[in-house]
Amino acid sequence: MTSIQPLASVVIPTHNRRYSLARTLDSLGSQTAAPGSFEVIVVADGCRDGTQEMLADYRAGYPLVTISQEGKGSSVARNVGAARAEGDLIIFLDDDIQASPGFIEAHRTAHQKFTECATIGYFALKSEIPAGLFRIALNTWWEKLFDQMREIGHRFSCNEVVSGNFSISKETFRRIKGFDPSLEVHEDYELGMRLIKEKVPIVFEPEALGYHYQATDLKGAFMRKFQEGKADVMLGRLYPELRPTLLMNKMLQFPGLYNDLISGLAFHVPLLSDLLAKIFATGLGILEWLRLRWFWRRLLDVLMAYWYWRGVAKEMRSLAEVKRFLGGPALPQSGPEIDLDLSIGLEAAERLLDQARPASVAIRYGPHLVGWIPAKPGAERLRGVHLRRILAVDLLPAFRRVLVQAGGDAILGLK
Amino acid sequence: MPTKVLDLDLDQLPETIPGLAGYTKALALLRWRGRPLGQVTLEVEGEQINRAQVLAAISSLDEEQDEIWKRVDQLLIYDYLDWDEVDVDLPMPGPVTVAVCTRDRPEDLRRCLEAFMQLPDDGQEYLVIDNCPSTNETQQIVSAYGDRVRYVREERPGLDVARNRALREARYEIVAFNDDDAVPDPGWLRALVRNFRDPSALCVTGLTMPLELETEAQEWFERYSPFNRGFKRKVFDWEKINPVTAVKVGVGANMALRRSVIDLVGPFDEALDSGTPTRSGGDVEMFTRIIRKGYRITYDPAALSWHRHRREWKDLRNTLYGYGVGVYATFTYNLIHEREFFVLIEALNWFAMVQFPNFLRCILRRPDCLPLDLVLAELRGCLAGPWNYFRSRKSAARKSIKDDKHSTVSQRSYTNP
Repeated sequence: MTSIQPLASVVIPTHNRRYSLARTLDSLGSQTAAPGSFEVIVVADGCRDGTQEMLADYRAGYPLVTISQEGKGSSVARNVGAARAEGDLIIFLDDDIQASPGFIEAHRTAHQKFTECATIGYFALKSEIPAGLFRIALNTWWEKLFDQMREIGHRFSCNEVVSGNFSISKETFRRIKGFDPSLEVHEDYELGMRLIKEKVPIVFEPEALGYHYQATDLKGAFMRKFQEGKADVMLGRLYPELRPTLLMNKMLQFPGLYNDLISGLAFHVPLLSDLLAKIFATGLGILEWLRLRWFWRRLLDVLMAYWYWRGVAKEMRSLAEVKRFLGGPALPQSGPEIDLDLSIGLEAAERLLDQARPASVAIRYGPHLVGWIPAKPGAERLRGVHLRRILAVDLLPAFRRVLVQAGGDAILGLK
Repeated sequence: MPTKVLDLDLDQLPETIPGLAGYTKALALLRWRGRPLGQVTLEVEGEQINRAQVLAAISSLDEEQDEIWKRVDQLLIYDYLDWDEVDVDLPMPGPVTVAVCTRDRPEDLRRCLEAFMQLPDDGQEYLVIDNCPSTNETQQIVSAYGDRVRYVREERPGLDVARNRALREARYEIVAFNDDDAVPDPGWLRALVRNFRDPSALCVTGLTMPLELETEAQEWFERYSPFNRGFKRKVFDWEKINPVTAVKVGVGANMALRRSVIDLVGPFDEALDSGTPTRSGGDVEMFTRIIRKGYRITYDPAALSWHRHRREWKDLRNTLYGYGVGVYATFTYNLIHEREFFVLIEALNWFAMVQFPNFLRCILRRPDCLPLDLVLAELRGCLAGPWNYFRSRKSAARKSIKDDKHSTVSQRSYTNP
């Protein structure tokens, strides 16, 4: 490598995970990126397990900066680490992720393709929990998150921004003022929301690969769901336009007893229903023993829904209040921001989208309307790369009809 | 009278398809610019079939006709947009290994290897596993291809033994298996491989059509037990199907696996499939395990291969007997070792919905009913399945103990010269 690489700063917030952190630091010692081309900043947040001692003794083959702070949360830790960064590119990496050798290089290359972007790397799960249906279910759920991001022309939503393996230029990070420390979870979604508002393109980079060692068991997953319930209310308060996209709204779309019952229990008799939830959780074991996967899956969904509603109930008094919150002031639905005429050619239309970055678009072919893509709350504004997916997946029958109207089958190369 | 197998592209459908003397019917695979769409059965009139007949046959399909034309529309738009159906933004996997496991079928193997040579060269390696051969003929055929095809002899009999050997011998991470009596379409390999861009796909299967339907045995096989799993691409996992119903994801005659399958879910079960008392089922048991362990299997009809079914009636009877044995052997394994109680429902369902009605139709001499000897052969196979499984398990265990002894002895002699 002769060209001068811009310095990258890897920021790792950590909390009482010295062994895991050492594994992460080790993985950064065998990067394909030149040793002088990156630095690592570890922010130890309220560590009581000897992390500082481990760091003091750690002999890194790269510049390693250590910062200690009293438990202020991972958002503050990330902001503090980013503030100390010397590099132009900041790569946030979690302390339980082992980076692949090409990790830093891949993040850096991804940013060279765009003038400004935020890059999400891929991290595969390495579960440290016992083999079983829960581990399988967790893995399936995890891979599905990335499935969508892998799709060509995927339109990113703020809730796909995950901070565990994520890079952004220092300039952009400063401009949007970093992570919001008031959120315990979903702080990355909230950051995603501001990135989207600032029209920063979000890209997925499969080569920026890490291995996520995770030990979340069933109990941990319920706890996480509980926190998500709380965080969703907070996100909805910060961004009213996100309320229709929140899980609680989707759940309430299914009318009937089911959600009313679960949420009713969570709101009104939490002590009793917590006990019930624990009893039912043991039922998962029985269903798994019997290999009744379908029932197991349904029961898990019910329990997850319960703990989510328990989280919501921490922030709201009743289901009526939730419904008022979700029903809130109706958002003004405006017409499409721009008109896109495909008869100028696909490439030209893509360039136009890249320039205009509209939230919504009406697509035509000459005088014929193909359809329109409305603004989607929490989703990034349209880019050129989204166009073909829209036509091939969302608007396919209409597009075919219009092409026939516009130019007959000749356009499609039919005899 | 035999049935002619036709391969028609709707984009270039000729006015007439002549030269069908000696056939009363035809089974036509329909494609659109190379991509399989569906199939129709046609009547041969005056030694030929004309274009209008094909279109009429499509219109007479119930729900499928809509599907076929919708699919044509879809593919037209995809071409116009230069859109990839497997729409992932990931690089193609590197070169792959193409493996064929064979045992004393030189004629079939020769045809299969010829078809391999028609595949576009993406740097793939060809591997022939010669399983417990009685002659050197296979070796001689392979040697004619020089460096292009690698020959490996596996002395222990068993299709699953040979498959495991192929996975171990393969130079590349992805191993595509084609049966020795099947002929892959030129687009077969690429269509299989593109699906491996999904990192969770541990296995990809393809569409298998009959190569010929020249005898009654072949026609009955295609009617009763086709390898065809439909014309829609599907991704299967444990949330979509019960693992013990994995027979619907494809067939071992046309499948590709990642070599890492050995570490992630284990090798093929050597107590199963041809060459052992269980006679079949090794592929399905592997599919079951992949699904059970949480990985994905993709079925992609674009990966097309043509299978020559058994020509002789007694071979067909044997095959169906063998399927009965294999299915019940894997059922037994899944029930006893994996506690898959759903097997009981599957078995009951199969009997109540397929086997018993077929038997009844035979007895009542309904038109077009399955010949009784085939029905009985399969039922006999099912009855023998569990017993044969235990027998096979025992002998496989004995063999592996013997192998272990061999290896310990050889290790000892190596360390203490």
